[in-house]
Amino acid sequence: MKHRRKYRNRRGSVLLMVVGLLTILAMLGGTLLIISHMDAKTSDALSAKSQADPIAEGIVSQVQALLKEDLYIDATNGPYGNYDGSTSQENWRKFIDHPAYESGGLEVEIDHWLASGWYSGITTWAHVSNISGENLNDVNNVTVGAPDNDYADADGDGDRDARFFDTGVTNNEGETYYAAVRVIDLAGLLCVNTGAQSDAATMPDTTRPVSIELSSFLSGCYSNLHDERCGGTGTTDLEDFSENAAECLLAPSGDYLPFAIGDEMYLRWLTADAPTETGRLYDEITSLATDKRRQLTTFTCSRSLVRRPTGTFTEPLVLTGSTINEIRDRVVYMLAQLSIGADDNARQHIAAAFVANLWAYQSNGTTGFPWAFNYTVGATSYTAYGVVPQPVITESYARFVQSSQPDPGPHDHKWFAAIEIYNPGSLPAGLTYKLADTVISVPVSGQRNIYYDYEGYGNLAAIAADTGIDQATLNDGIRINGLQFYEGKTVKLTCTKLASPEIVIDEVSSADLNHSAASPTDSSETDDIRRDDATNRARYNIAAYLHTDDSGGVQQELGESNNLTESTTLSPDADYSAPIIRKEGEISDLGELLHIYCAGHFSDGSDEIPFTKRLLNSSISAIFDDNPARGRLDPHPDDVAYDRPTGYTFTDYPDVPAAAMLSEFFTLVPPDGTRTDITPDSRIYGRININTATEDVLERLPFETNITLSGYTNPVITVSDVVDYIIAYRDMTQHGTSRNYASRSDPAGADITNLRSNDPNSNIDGFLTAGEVAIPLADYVTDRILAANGGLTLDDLKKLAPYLEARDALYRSISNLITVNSDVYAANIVVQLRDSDGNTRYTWNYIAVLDRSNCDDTGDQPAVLLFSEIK
Amino acid sequence: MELLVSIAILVIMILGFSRVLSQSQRVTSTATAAMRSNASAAAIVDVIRNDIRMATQNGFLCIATKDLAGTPVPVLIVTKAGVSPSKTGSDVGTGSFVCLSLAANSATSTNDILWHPEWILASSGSAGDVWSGVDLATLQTYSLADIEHLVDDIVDEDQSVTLSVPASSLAELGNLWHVLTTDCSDLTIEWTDGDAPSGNLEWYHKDNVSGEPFENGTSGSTYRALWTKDDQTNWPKAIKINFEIDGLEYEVICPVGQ
Repeated sequence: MKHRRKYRNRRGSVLLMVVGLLTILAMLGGTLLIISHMDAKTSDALSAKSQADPIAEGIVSQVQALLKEDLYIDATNGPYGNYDGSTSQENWRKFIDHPAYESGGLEVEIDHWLASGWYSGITTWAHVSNISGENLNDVNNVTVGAPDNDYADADGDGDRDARFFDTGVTNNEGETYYAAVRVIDLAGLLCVNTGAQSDAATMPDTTRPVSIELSSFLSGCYSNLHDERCGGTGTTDLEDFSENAAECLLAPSGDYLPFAIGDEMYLRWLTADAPTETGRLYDEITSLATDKRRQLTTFTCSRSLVRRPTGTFTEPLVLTGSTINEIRDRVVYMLAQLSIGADDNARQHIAAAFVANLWAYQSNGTTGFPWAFNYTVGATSYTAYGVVPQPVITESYARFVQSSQPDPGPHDHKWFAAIEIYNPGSLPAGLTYKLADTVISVPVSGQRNIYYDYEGYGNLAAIAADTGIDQATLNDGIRINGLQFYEGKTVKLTCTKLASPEIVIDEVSSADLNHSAASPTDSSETDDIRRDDATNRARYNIAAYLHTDDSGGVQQELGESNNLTESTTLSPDADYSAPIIRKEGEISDLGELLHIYCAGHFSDGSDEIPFTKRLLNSSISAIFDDNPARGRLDPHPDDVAYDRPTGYTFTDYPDVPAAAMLSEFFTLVPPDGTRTDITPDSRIYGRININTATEDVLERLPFETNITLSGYTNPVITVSDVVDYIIAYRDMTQHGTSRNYASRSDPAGADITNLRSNDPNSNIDGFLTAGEVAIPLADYVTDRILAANGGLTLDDLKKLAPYLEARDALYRSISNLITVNSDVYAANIVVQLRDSDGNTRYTWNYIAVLDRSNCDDTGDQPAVLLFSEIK
Repeated sequence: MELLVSIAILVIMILGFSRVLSQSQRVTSTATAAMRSNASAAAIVDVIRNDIRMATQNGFLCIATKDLAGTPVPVLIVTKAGVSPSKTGSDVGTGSFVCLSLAANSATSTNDILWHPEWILASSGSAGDVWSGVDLATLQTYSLADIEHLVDDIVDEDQSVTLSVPASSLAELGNLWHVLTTDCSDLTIEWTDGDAPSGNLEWYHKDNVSGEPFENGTSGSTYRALWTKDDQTNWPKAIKINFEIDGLEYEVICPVGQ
């Protein structure tokens, strides 16, 4: 019994053991299943990933190819040298980088691979990247919303921003890989390595990208960021920072330590708590809102290239450091390219005057006087002298009373001749002025003096009685022997400095006055003829004469204002002023070239013609006509072809004012000289592409906020409104408070005849050249001035001497900092594996940054600066 | 008698079966080894492709030689940009150096290691696989001479640690991030600029030196080809890497910068 009981007890143990073993087996089996399942998933993911990487790599290669293709590289002349026989208007578009999208029913493929930029409050993407060039209807006007099977979220912000396309790749289960890519122009963003502020203690002599207001954009983050990139120095010497860091980002010197391309990951991937939240830049801008972060970049580059390179003309001439002959040659080339000037001889004269005037404009005091630029045209030698503020002949008077006795007399004829000289101010010290070969003391600034001579009158009272001129005026005058118009004489006003040549700066001839008396018995002159002195129109330096007498109702008196009204029509060439502006320092922005006259004091070896008369010479007046900019290039004329020959057809260069093209021939921002792969140097970092920049970014350009119009209420400048004008012009719409630029040449738009209207292919969105931005900026200032000065008409405003300087002030402040094409782009790439039902199985995200600034030859490939997966 | 015959037949069957089994085992072993090598090689190829894919032309690329037990062996150094977490610590860099070469295995005198250290370029940290004092930003301040010195340091880095597989100590275990695989030999690294004078791509290496204008040492153990950010147009178009694992030859060709 005892034995059997023991056996029964063991039966229970066996049961327990069996249950236990089964449990262990079940656990082992379960674990094995879990591990197997995990292994299977891992293998599945790895297997799926093995095809995703090459797809992403392929997309990068495709974008590289598109970027290179977009440069239109010619084997001989380099970038933009080969447009494949496209028509002119297509060529114009191909020079710029602008996201393509539908414009007025016209599908405008400029850069179909480029996505339009994000901006605060965006509801519709004007264009998403389309690297295939197909499905055009699906890539324009894409509503912002949650990603789906058609559109991807490429940057991790939760909103769709890229179009999926079938890659044609499937795995062994028949599942399909889709991909989407969003390519953006980094020059449309603010560069954290080049931007700074416009009011630091020490700024570069010329306006550089350090002037772009990164400081105000980053507000509280800027100080630490600047300190970090300056190696802890936080310097306020932005000239040094610019030269040793911002202008040579890949080879900084000193303590400077710009943020590297690895930090771009944090800026291009916007998901919170992502692995990209690392690096020096992340440490400095952690607190910055995502919508600000996305508008930053670490690296931008836009080479200064020309649209039609030939031979040595491959990049704009850097004015700083160039010789006067180099500048002259480039001006001649520019004039020829733009068909300004009747022929090459005329262009030689214009260019000589331009460089002499530029020389005088920049020179301090009388250094370099008389800024004589000697040149030859054909076999003839000429000299162009620079113009600076000078005393001018504002009025002249000649009266001749015929002799009562025939020859041989005795004669009792009498004559009186007088000149009024006005000092507009800002005359350089140290110059000696002569009138009719007699040294004179010029009036003090803002005052007039009368200089005269006479014969046959007993005294000044007799002259006053005979001419009606106030005797007090004559009493204050100065008698100059030999000042007369008798016998065809010319009264010259000259200036000289020590042993320097004496140059004619103004003159009045008897012919100017229609004074042809050649002898005492000459009966042809019996009246007085006078010259306009309406100083409020700065006509003091225009050689235009009022060929009328007092009977015309126009009262003119020596020594007094002539009381002409602004609406008084004088002569066709006298409606607009021509003020002489001088800087006495290095030119600092490209817009200053608009101050420089294309005419000046001129000598052909036998005769000297002063600036005041040279302006009226047909070789000049035929080009520049009667225009507010008289004698200068004007970015906002009444007609886009005002300085071109009659019937001019726009071919190689866009149908914009010639002045807008200056930026394609000259620059003031020196390129990076540290790189060795392209010659000549042309890389410029940090400039803003006005075709791709968002409103927020454009507002960081250092716009002038104090516009001065002497004698009038100065307008209030609101930067956001300024940017409204720029965007409205770019997008051909009305934006914010701007004008309606739906048709730019329309009176409601820029009101410039023929502007961007040569062809439907020209009348498209975007700026065709950087200088074109001067048009909406001029519109803005003009609108603001008129709004601030009720009753002032546009016509009257255009005749005010300080108008042009005020009008173009905004453009000057940004002219060095903008571009219309770019070389560095970021590509956010999404690769997705979907099953046969269209369900997403895996999604991979990649970021690439490509730089094509090394591409000069047909065999060059854009450099890959960054290509990394978001893990 | 019948028992003896049965036993004899059984012995014969067992012997025959064991022979079949041993043969099968040999085949299976060989196949397994080959599969393991192939899998390993595939993984290595994937790693190498990923390295070169992530190469930033704002950094540098170098193909050099170093001395390994009296024999010059090639070294490839690539600068990568992108998020780079440390394998030995908590640091996360925004770039890295990655190196590929052969190194001696202290655990055996016959089989070399495929040396593949990746140093993190972070603004802080200095332990483990963080390269002290250098990140992508500081690298940009380097002159050509500075980069050459850096290359010297990287090339010799295998001498500063004990690489042993299998590891016999914690310290050796901590150095395994240098190791991509073992039993590797006959590593060659060549590059091409796309020239194909004879119809086939010309591949340059220590015994076929190119006349390109970048830093280019003489052939043999002093060979060095260096490409930097200062000239991004002369970078090689592709790199070809050959190696053997367990006696099996492998080749990978990676395009550079595309």
